[in-house]
Amino acid sequence: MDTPILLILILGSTALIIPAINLILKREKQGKAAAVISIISLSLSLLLIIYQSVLTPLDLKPSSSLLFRNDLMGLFFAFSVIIVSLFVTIASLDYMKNQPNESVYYSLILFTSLGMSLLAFSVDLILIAVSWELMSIPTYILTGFKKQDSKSNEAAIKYFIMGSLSTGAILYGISLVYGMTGTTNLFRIVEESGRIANDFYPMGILAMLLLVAGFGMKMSIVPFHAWIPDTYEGAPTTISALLSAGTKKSAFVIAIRVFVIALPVLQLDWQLTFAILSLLSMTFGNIAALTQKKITRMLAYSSIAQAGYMLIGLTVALKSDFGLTGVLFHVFTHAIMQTGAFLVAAVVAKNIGSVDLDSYKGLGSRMPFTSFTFIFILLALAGVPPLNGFWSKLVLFTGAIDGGFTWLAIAGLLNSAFSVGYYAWIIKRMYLDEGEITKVNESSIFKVVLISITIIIVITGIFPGPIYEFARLAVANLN
Amino acid sequence: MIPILSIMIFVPIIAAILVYFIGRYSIKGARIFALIVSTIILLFALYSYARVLESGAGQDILFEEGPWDWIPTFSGVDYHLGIDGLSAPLILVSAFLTVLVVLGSWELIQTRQGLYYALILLFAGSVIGVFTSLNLLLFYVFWEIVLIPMFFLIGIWGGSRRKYASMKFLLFTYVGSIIMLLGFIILYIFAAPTFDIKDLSIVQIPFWVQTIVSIATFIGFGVKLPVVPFHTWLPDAHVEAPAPISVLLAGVLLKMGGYGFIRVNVTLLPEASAEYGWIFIIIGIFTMFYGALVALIQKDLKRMIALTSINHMGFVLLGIFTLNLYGISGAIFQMFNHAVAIGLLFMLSGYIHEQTGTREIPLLKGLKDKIPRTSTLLVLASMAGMGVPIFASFLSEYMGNLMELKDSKGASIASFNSTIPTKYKIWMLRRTVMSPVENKESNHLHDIKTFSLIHLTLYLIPLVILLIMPWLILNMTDQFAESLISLIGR
Amino acid sequence: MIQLLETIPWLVWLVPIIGALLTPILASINHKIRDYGACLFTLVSAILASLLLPAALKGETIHNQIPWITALNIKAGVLADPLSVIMANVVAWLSFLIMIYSLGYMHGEHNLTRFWFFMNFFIGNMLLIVLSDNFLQLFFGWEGVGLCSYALIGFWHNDEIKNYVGTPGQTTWGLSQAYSPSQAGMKAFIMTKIGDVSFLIGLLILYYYAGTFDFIELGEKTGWGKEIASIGLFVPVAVLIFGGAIGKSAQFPLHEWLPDAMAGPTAVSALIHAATMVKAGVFLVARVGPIFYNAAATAEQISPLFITIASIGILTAFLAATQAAVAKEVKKVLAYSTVSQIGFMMLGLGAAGLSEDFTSGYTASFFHLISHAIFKASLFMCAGALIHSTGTKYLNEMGGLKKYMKYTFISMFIVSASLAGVPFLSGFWSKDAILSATLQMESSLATPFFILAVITALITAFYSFRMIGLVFFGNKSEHLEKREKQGHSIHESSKVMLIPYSILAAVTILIGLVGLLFEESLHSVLSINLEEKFVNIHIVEEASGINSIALLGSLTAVGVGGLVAYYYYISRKGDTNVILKNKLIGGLCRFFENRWYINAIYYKIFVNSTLVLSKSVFRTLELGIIDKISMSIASGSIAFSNLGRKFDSNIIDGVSNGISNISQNLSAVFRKIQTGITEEYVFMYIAGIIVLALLFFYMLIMGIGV
Repeated sequence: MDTPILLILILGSTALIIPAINLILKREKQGKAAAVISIISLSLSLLLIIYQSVLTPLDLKPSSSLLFRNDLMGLFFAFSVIIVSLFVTIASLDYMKNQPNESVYYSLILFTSLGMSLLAFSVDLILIAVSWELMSIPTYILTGFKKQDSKSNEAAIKYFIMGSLSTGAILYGISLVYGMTGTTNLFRIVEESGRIANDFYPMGILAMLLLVAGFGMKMSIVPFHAWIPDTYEGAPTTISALLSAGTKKSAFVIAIRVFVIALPVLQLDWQLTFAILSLLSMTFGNIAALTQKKITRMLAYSSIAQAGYMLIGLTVALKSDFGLTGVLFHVFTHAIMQTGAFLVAAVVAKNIGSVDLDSYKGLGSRMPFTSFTFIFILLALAGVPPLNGFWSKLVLFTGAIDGGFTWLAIAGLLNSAFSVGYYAWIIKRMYLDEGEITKVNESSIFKVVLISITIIIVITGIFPGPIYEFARLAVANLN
Repeated sequence: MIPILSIMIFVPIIAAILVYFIGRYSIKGARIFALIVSTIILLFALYSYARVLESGAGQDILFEEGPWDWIPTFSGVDYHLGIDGLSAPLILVSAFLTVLVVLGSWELIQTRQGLYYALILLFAGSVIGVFTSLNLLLFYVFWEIVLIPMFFLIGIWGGSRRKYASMKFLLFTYVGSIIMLLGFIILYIFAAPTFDIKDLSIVQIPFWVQTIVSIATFIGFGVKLPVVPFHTWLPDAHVEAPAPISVLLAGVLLKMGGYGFIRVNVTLLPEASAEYGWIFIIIGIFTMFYGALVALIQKDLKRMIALTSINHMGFVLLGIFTLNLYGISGAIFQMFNHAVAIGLLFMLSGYIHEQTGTREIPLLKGLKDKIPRTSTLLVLASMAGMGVPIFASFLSEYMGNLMELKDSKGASIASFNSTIPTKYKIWMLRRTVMSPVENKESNHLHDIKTFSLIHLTLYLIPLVILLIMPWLILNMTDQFAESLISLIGR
Repeated sequence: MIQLLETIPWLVWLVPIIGALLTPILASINHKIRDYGACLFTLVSAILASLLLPAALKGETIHNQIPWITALNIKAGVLADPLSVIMANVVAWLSFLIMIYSLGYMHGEHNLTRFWFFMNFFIGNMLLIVLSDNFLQLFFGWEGVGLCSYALIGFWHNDEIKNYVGTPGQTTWGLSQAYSPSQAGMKAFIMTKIGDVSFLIGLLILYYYAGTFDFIELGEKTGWGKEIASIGLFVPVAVLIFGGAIGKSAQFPLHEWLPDAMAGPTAVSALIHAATMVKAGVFLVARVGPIFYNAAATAEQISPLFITIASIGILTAFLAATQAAVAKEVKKVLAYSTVSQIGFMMLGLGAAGLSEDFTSGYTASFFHLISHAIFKASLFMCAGALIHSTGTKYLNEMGGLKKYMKYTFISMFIVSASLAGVPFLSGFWSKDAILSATLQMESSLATPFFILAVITALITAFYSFRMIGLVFFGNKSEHLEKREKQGHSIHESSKVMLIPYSILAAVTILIGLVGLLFEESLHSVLSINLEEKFVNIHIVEEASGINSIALLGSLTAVGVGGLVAYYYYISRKGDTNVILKNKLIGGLCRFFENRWYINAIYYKIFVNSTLVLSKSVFRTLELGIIDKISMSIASGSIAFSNLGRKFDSNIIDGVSNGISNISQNLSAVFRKIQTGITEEYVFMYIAGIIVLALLFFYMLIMGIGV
């Protein structure tokens, strides 16, 4: 049975049902109920994915339809993003408590996750466009979910404008590809590509550029990153988590499918492009992150930098086996770490009421639990062994050198060395600086989420074997 | 058989968590527990050391564990442990210092003790990991873990500029090790698809790869050792850290650098080390004199001691890259002795600071009369540092000189170096211990308690034992060095 | 029995060390026990040492070894041959007497535990030097004695002004020539350390080629000599090792520490800086000289070494004698004279290597070593007694003590006469022997050295009697008058102090009476020893006996020097101030008083320059460059990133402020956003695409990777 279809059933149905709760339940109950339902459905789909990928990876058949491809790659990404939205949902249970129309909030999250997971499986440009929209539109609303907060609104608007811009770019690129090959299915494109006349190369290039621009906007790579800091800052912090850990990753899966499966036939050297883009993203992201005053902005820039690391993998995708494996691996690890980081920001923002980094002074004694988990998350982001962040980066850099981009690897290593500066700075603020000493209560929900995230970070750090294997197989069975 | 090395690594790390929680309920309990654990580790270390010694083959790897796949499909990333004549002494001294540090902290550390001892144990475990791992990646993992507890230990319990010092420490060492990692990856890609030291040591590595990698590793290990000019983190870190932590810094952390140089540069990159050894030697000599000269005018007792260790480590670097028997064996010996001697000096500086309230050498006057016990120990420790032949440090320095001699590259001038440490230590003693008592009212300082006296005296025991029975260490290091040299020869 | 005999040499040097370690424990019982216990240990080792004598005088050798550094195949061991046994006896018995003396001299001092500890520890180490059978072990003792001397010179580490050595306020080139005890100790330690390092390097080179430290082996297989000689290191190595001797025995150019070492208690000066430690250098040369002489293939190889030794010896002898002649403090006179006398011994050893009968010079200097040890120890103890009862160390503050301290006067007169070389006292014979050895040198230098030696002997006689005159004759100085007014009567020193130096005075006479006999027996014993150990050393059987020229020389020296001293200082007929008016002599005096400016030069060159260098390194490199670099990297990146933040914060903050200013509702937001901000983003987005496109087409045209 096709995983994507099942996911549509599970997530889509619940997403549609949830708003109906408002009719049944009383106001104060609605939120909780909606949350629980969506959590259940998310966990269900997660289990399904795990079942598919772990227990029956071998009898995965290419999907009946030409739209989907029910392969490990898809499963891997679906797995990552649904974990993220699961965590986000659970955290929202506390974060969004007693906000107006919560149920809508949750259903929107479900829609986004549906969009993301569909994106992970889709191999047809049309479906890609559709599920891209399905993924994006709910996030526009979610970003502006705090109606009273001008920043939230402003962020939403900007996000919306840029988002539609990118969608436009994507559609335009798709149409160009269709025009050249007469098909929208990626594998068909490969077959058809033989008949492309040389005059079409410029057009092919243009198409690829548009796609890069379109996906790059979500992938948050320089120079398509401008909206990121504002949006992450303005949006409800849980949603920032969803954006940076979820949607961004789905953008990557599409990038992989398009650029690795389809576009090589255009025989274009897009490696150097990606190399330059990744260098820009890493460097700019890290340098800008160093002196941010707000944690959300800092994380935004750091996620730009992380996107740069992943691009390293894409650069050498065709030259080294480590490349794509590294991308997938880092997608997963970064999804976990980034969710954790933003959720910490969320709980701090909720309880202390500020996203200023200075409000983290002496946090170690105020919110011992959160701070403790945050240490692990930050160190993982910095890539300190034996946490998972280290391994994915290691694979990426190994791939870079293997693929002949040693200079890129050096740049990446120096960048991650540099990034320790601001990650450790937060640890310093939390533990070495003295701040207020008034204890702050840490809600048990967040505790659960954070500890489970920390456990995942540590476990996948100490035993990176399985997840690495998963990524490797996913790459191996790509075509 | 029981995996002794894994026990030595992970028992402290797991115990660290327990200690933290015990510390929440009873500080005393935490202390005792930490002491017990570290003692057990010391016993294990002694046992393994004895085994290596009586095996009579310092070059062989004993207690080998693994290689067990860590990431099955990522070839060469294994869990692989083992010890030989190089690592055994360093493990022993680390375990030994850990016990003494736990003892020494009972008086000097009074805040958040649970966390403190937890971090100490974490440090101990990971350091043993560094010294035992036979896989470059595993090595790197432990290497990095070591930083974290150290960062907190300096940053939380340190002196007035502790934040600055700890951040500086973290950044410097982290950048260094990242570059080292780069070297490892290059090795992996271009030499052989493995991180396993044993496998790498058999494959013939292209010369240009060796060159690149040795540059990278030089930065990584050089920051730790430290060599000038990567040393600026050291004075700050040592001065700001509380005395017991300075002991760990100077006694154990610095040795990781020397260990790395021998284990990676000399073992895996022999041609490059032979070809460009002279550069390292020059740097070593420079570091030596530099450290000595800068130490000479320091006013802060602790800072002076810290800088002396730069001087000694320069000596070690020099010894390693002369690539001859006396050099390498002597370097290991020297690392052992220096670890103990410098440890005692740092503890004493801590006690002196506690008793007199200052570390400014000009202000410390007439300690001989005020705090006789401390100053007697101070004199002894300085003698050990100076290599006066009442302690084993003399033998190691003597071997060092022998090495310089054997090395034709005119390094012998370096042996005059040994006059400079004499100068500054003697000068320091003269100004502190021997100088006349000035302000009479502060004469009634309380001297160290008998407990501390005893535990401080423990530091000197290995030095005396090794003076009388140097073969206890040389038997293994010499064999190790010989086999290494023959390896380079091929 | 023989087994026992073999363990004795070990005990000889172990007992005092054990005693030293026990001292703190004894001290905890009771101070008297501590003091007497300390002396007891020394006595025991002295007796043990004398047990070795009978065998040694028969020329037998006890050699006993145990494994030590197996990895480098180095053994620890003891070698009790005549040389070392005689030396050991001298050291041990003198030490014992001096310990007794210290009982009185140090009476009532504070923290004597330290004193006794280091005294015994010193004696142990000194005996270790004497009895060890290899260089490395010897070096241990070598460093040990240096350590003790450092600690004991600085014994009065409180630096009270009365313990200063030198006249406070007297300066040379603005450098004070007065040293506090602790400073003097440090000076001694570092200066000797320089010698030690050169010694060590020499040793290591030797070891590297000979593969052993063992004296016997070095003597037996002489192959290493050719090896080293083949790379032209033979003489350098020897000189490097000799450098150690220079340092310890305070020979030029490392002689400057000894005079200042007088800051220590007089007992210490007597033990370490007169009788034993400073002799270690001579002993070392006596040990090493034959080995090298033996190993040398040809005389050409060896002669430079012995010429160096001889010339350094004679130079130092003269240099120090001149300074002794003008010294103001009784102890300094003795210190300089010690340096000068050791110079004589070196001269003798040098002569030994240069003349075809090795033993004559060898014996001479060893004989002089013994006799000098005895009378100089006695001299120092007398000086201590004087300082004790007069409360001053300056010669010109004493005077006319003859009738107050009769016994001290007698014994001091005898021993200084012996120092001066008055006939039929031990000093006379030994010095005479050295002079004749100098004459026997087969070298063009023989005559000039001999003349210089005679002049030195003359000066020696002069300052010995000058000292006697200034101290015991003439009238009491006003200082003493003042003291008596204050109620300190000048009295003979206590028995416990008096007896030791009287004994030594007696011994001086004794040896003096049997002088020739003594010398011959010494000669025979040593020559037996040398012959059986070293093949290449040729011996002329009978002792050289009296050499008339040498005899004449020494007699004139004593006569002239003595008379001048008598005229000016004993009978006080002449007035010294008159001749000091004379430009030449006055100038010379000042020159000598300023130690030939050598000390000042050292300070200017070495001490100050090092400090300056290290300061500058710290300032410029450490703080100036390296720190700056690391700092600037950090600050630079921060500044850079600040720049970035400025850029985007302007946009975002501008917007949000704008919003809050105008209104909270969406339309306003829209308006605001329409008016420009997001356009920047859109523009950036488009611009990005275009730039990429350009890049891409560029690559396409350039054909990169397509």
